Amino acid sequence: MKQLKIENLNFKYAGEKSDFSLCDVSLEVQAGEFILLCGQSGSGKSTLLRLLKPEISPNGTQTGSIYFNGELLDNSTPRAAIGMVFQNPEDSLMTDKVSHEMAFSLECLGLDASVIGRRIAETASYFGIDALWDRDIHTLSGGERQLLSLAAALVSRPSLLLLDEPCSSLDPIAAEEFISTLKRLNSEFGITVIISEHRLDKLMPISDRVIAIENGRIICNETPREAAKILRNTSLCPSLPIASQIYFALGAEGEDIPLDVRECRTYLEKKEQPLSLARTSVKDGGDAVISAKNISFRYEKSGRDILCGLDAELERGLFTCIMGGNGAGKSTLLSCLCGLEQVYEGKITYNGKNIRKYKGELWRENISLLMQSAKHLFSCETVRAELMDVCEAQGLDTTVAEQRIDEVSKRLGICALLDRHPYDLSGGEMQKAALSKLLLGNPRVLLLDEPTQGLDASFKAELLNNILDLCEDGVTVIAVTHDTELAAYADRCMMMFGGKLTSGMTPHEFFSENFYYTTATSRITRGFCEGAVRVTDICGGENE
Amino acid sequence: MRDFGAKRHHPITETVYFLSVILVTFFAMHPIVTLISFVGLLSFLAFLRAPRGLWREILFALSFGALVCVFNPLFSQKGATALFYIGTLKITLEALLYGGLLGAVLVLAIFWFKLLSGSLDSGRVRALFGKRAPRAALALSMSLSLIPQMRRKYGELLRGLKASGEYIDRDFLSRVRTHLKAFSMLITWSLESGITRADSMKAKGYGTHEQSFYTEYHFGVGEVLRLALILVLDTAIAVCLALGGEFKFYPTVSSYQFDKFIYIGGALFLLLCLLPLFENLFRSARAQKILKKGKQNKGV
Repeated sequence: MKQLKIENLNFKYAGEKSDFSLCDVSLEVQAGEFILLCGQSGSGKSTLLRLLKPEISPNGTQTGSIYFNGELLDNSTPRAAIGMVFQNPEDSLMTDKVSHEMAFSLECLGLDASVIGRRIAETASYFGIDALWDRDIHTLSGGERQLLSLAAALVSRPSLLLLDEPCSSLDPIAAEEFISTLKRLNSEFGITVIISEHRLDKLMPISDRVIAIENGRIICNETPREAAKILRNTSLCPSLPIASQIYFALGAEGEDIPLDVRECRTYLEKKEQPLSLARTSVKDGGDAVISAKNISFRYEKSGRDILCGLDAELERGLFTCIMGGNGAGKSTLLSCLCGLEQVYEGKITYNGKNIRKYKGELWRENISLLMQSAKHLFSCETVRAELMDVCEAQGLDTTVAEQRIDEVSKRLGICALLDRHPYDLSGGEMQKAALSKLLLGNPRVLLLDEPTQGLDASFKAELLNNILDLCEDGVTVIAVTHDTELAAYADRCMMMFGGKLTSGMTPHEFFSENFYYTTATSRITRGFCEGAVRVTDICGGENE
Repeated sequence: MRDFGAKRHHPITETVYFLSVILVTFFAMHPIVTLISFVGLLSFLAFLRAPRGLWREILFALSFGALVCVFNPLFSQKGATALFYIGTLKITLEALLYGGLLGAVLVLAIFWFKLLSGSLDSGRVRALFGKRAPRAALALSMSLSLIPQMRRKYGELLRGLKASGEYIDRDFLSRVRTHLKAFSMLITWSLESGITRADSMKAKGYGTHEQSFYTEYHFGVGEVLRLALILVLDTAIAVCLALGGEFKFYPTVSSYQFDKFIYIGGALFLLLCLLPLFENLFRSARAQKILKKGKQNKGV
């Protein structure tokens, strides 16, 4: 059954002069399909999704038509039929109790209290959130919140579910859980799913169809395997699953493009030519710029130790990645390293001097920390004004300040963004703007908290280049991350567990020794090409 | 045992219960009633539910009570038994005792109110007002979710400013400026997130139908009976205490004659105070009996 039909849809935002946000979009969706919508930030994914939900369709001029179950989609379409989950669960949950959040959309539909009670009970049981039932929403973790958003959207029993980058604020483990719940809903109830996302590796193997949008036009509307073939030659190639990327890196041409680890291993087994490892140089670090000796930290007097006798040596001029599970204390460690939190035992030294002996001068020119929430550290009308404000606070001259801003924005490639409102930027752009504020202070050590979370592949690549570039200039960069693909490009990798930190290893040693906690490349090439941890490590075999 | 009936009873009966205990304690101003109220409070703290962190406030409450006790004789010159003089000020035993009672009643009222507010979380407040004013209840629920969120965000922004080196801890003025900056960032952020929130509300269908109201608390027959019992006890206590007359501190405490109605009223009040404990004991005894029977059956 044709559930959704879009014919020649064009859309232009009100106030926008020339550019159409969506151009000539036509597509059909069958009931029960699982559709992945991909495209770079600002390509028009969100606009398309919002146009499918009339209550929140953006303001602008629209031509062409959208049919839902054979009827024109407009405000008279039943509200409950189309559910929507937003990007940031923090902003999209509105009540204070889990139980009320679940009941909210049914209250809006004016249902009877006894019906509501029954429906939320069965939905909560299905999603396994009955354990959270009495909790206040602000005590939930990000993953729990997004699961609640999903359950709250499904309690009104929609037949079409729209999700706008629902995983971008989740860590990989929570994201994976979310996606598998989604797939279960799709296969057990036949709910049509349209999900926009830039993390394609988990979603592509389970989708029925991949629709890619570039500059408001559909460039691909095919099954995942076909889509991988088409997207190979576009800017979306770096977002494709690692399995496909390895296939491309080996120069293979064909129809059997692998989408996950298993398929790729099968492909490698059939392939006759052996793989070889591209040599990469190992960078030697200098002395330890920050060293921690036997530090312990807890948030509450009688709480548990988050850091427990931790030792760390962070080498000058290197890019170090610290990995570890949720709640392992990675962010806490960063806070301690830059003196935001005080350890109760042990000593942290920066350039050989205890950080407690530094007064205000520890920050800015020495150590800067980019928090995850740094994206919200804006209060001015434009990015330029924001940067100017930082310079003023530092007591710089206007001319010097302008020079500095020019320098930094060139370095990060944000010159074109300087006159825009910070909140009009995409997530990746916002992060760059926040980073530029830090770089104005010329820090010698840069701490990054989950820098790649929610970034699409191109922003990730840019961020990595910026980090490596800073390291070239002698800046020490320390990132805590879940992202193994980022860590594979680091100079040193460390693992945090049980309040302690393992000693630094190069990513090649680290990931090829790990079996479970490792990159997709390493999992794919194990047994075929030992020691490969990133796509660029692999050569087809012809060159040494 | 601790988690007795908190979810079982409807917020209306809970509120009426606590308010009646507080009002009786307060208006009786009688040592016996105060003592019973204290026993009831102890039964709550020891066996039933005490809100977290209540124990820490005991010290504060006791010193508050002691203060009232000490201050009363300074302002009241009544009473026959003079203990000592401060200048021309006569400090009497009766005034001291009266102050002690006043302090005790105030402390008890504070603690009973704490128990009341501990039993009324936002879901229960919603249930109290929701049906009559669903929009106000929604607004309450939304603001209750916003307050912790904004507080946390403010802390995050402040830490972010500090760690990025924008925070300058030179003097008082610069600290104020940093706080102002964090505040303006908070406003910008909350305006932005408000837009998303509004979209999310619309997407859930807010404003399309007459808003209905859901609460998990059901005002059933059992609750009605319980409420009736509480109200009957209240009335009986009020009548008895009125007949029993006021407790007279002046001129001397020992000249006061206890009336038999005071004893009846006191007994009824004790029943009211220990009602939740009795209910709870009864419930767990019944459960134990059933469990025992179950075990025996299994044994056979």
